[in-house]
Amino acid sequence: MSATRILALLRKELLDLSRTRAAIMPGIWTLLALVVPFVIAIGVPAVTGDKTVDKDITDVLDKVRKHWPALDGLSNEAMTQAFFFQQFLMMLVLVPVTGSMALAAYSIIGEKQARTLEPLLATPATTAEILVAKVLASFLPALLIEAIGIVLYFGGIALLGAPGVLGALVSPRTALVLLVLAPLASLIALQIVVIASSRVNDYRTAQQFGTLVVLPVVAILIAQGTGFFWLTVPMILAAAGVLLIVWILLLLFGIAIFEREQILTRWK
Amino acid sequence: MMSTERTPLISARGLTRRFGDRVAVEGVSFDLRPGEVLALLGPNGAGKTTTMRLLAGLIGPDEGTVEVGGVPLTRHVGTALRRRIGLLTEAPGLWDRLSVEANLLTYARLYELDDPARRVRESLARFGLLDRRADFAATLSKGMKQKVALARALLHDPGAVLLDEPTAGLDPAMARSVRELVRELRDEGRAILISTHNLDEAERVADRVAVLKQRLIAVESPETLRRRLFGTHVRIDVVGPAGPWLGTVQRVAPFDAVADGSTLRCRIERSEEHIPAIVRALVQAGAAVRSVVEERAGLEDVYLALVDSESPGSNHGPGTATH
Repeated sequence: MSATRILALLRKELLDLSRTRAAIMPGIWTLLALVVPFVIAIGVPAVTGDKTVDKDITDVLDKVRKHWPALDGLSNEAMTQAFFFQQFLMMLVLVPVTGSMALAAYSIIGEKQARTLEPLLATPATTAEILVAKVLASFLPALLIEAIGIVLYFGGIALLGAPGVLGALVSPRTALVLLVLAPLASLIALQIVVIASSRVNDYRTAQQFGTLVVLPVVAILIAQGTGFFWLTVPMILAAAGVLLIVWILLLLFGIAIFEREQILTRWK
Repeated sequence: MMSTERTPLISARGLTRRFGDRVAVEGVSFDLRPGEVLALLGPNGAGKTTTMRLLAGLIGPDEGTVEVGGVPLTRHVGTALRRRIGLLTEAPGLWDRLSVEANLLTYARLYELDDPARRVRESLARFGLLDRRADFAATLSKGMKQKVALARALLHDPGAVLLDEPTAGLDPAMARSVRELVRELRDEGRAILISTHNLDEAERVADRVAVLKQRLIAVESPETLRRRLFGTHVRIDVVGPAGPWLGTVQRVAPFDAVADGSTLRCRIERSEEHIPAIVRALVQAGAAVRSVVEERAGLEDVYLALVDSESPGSNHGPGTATH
């Protein structure tokens, strides 16, 4: 694999993306998603003046507290805010990735439809290089949006949240979820979509394959939200290891099933 | 040195490719030598693009082999051999949202060229694209896109250049500049395969033509094909009726001699020998010869005769392809 060729393709993809109006959509969705937890955790109680905590939430908090000692000593208001901000943390990851799926879904199909794939395949670029560049081209913008989202999110919590909320949220666990687990899950989702993009004729179909990964992540979120399940640091590290292996296997699988001839001769 | 004596840069042997039940090309064999332009002719669906793709290593043959510089083109060596081939695809295939320069720069990097920016600048200068380098590909005319695509195909200085319908849809001036470029490339010693429907173009630029209709019907120079299919015809205009002189002509050139008004026509085998003999015989017999013209069949006639010979129900057998 040639890093020069991967970088060449990546630069081309990002340049192309920077001139696509639709590319800003994941950023807009992320900004909107960022506002939601602030409205729920801070805005609604401030407007209604009702700072009592719902019994369902206190029940969940009771279950969660044993895994989350940083909640001890916080006021009810701060605990509730920390709970909501914790739950919406994964939105920061899911929203940009969901937006990037459209880019990934279009990656191979778009080249074919624009008739740019044939000259590209006539170069020394290998299938592996093309696939890696394609997945990175949709992954890196998602990562950038996620990073900006994290800064804004935690900045907003520091500014607007009750005392102690930020401290309760900033932990090795959170860092691992945001910086390791979530990006790997994103990479897998986008890799699946890029593979699908090389196998189907319609980008919408390709995009749907990404939900295969997003849905389990959503399920984990819901499980955590109900206090039923709590990801610990060792669990996150183990999951990250598994996800890394899964991504490498998916990449190899994608290379194996990338049919240059089929794409050139059968797709219309 | 005659181009046919040079070592082939690309050798196709028995190339057969099927798509399901449909045979796209069958048993195609020919050589492409440095400093040679070979025009690939054939009706729509004859397998020209498939042949191009096979030679460029984009698709593999079901049977047969392609050698580039003596090395068989296989999946394993394809990446390295693709550096030796420049392919102009049927559609220019430029990235619309990238500038002309960015399009070429990406390809220069994909070929891992030294100093890609300099190579791109040189290429832009060669193709007269320097003033359009910042324009997005989407804003270019079809002719300009084709020019950029040609620049892209030659960016890595390939020894063999495969051009799939390079002048299709271009205005005459642009088509002419493409033909001039093809001649330049030939003079630089590159081996060029050009697929075209434009027989006039093939006649103007090609050293040899390959007529394809799934199978290769013929691979020869246009002149050799003409001779093989039609021979050479001569038209002699005399003063007064030509009828009385027909016998004189037939004694020298007995093939297909006819008299019509004041014109005599006949087929000859060796013009340098038969034309002076006919004129001499006519003058000795007392004919007043006004003009003598050697008539050549057009490449279009040759092409149509060859393609027709391969059509179902044709009484003619297929031509023999020589390589």
